[in-house]
Amino acid sequence: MDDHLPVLVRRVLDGDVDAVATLVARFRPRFGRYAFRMLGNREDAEEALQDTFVRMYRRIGTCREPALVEAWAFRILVNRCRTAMGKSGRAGHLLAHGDPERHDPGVDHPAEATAWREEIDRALAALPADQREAFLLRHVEALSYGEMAELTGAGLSALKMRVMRACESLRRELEGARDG
Amino acid sequence: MGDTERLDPLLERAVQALKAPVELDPGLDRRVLTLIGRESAPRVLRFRRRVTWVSALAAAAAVILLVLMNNATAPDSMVRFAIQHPSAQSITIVGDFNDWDPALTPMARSSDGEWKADLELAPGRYHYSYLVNGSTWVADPVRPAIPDSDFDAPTSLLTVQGSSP
Repeated sequence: MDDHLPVLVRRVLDGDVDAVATLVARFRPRFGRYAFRMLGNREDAEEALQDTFVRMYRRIGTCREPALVEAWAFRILVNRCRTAMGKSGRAGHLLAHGDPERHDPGVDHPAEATAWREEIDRALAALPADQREAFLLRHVEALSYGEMAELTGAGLSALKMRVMRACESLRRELEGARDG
Repeated sequence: MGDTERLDPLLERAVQALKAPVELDPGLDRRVLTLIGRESAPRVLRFRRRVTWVSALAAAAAVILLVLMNNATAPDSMVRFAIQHPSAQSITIVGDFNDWDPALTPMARSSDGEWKADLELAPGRYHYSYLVNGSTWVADPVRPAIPDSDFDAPTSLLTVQGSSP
């Protein structure tokens, strides 16, 4: 919980554009990462993100717990990503316009690090959308199953099964890539 | 993260890579603010306070109910899981009671090809499945299957009743 968020929400409701800019800048790194991982390409991720922030602004008066505005806005993003997946009818496609991830120098040789990331992207994109969503929410966004259930409307058992099956598939794909 | 869950080193490494920041168009914020500038100011819903009071009353009622239920908690029951599968190399049980972790509940094979495990479970409803040889999902033939479109693997429903006092 962030003590400053209720103040920012109040300022947005009072028409303060700087407060909107602050919220967007604060949420963008996490939201952008989720949208990109979920949708698999930069254009769709940016469109989902833009749409999410505009909707957040329009509806912010309905956010009943301003201290939790980030979780509230994240729900909008998750739904926008679902809609984007439904529109395009695909399970994500690989980075058609270049890899927008930052390099992490010093961890691996750059070429090896890039190859590893591409394997992960490929394995993630091969998952069914519901499994990819559950895996990202659970392990990348570090949500509890209760939070995931609230966010997605799916049952706890279904979510746990999706995560488990996603882990199985990712492990199989990544081990295959490593051995191959 | 509220629930515990282990990842093997390979998946843990993948997760760390997926947590890395992603660089998107730096002009995105400006585009968002331009779009927002064309919108009318957001409004606060007038019924907010009333709804909040209703929510508070509902939450208080839920807490009272929870306390009453906890006071009446029934003891755990021993439940036997068994499946006939002579050709299996391994079978584990995965379900709500073990967070769908295939490492936690291996079954033991008897000489006649039956696999068994006994679990102590609190009263409640559990979804579960058998994982054969680490890859094949099999529903329990002696318990009801789940007619739930959320699942894309065979799953069974177990209901554990509270013991009589």
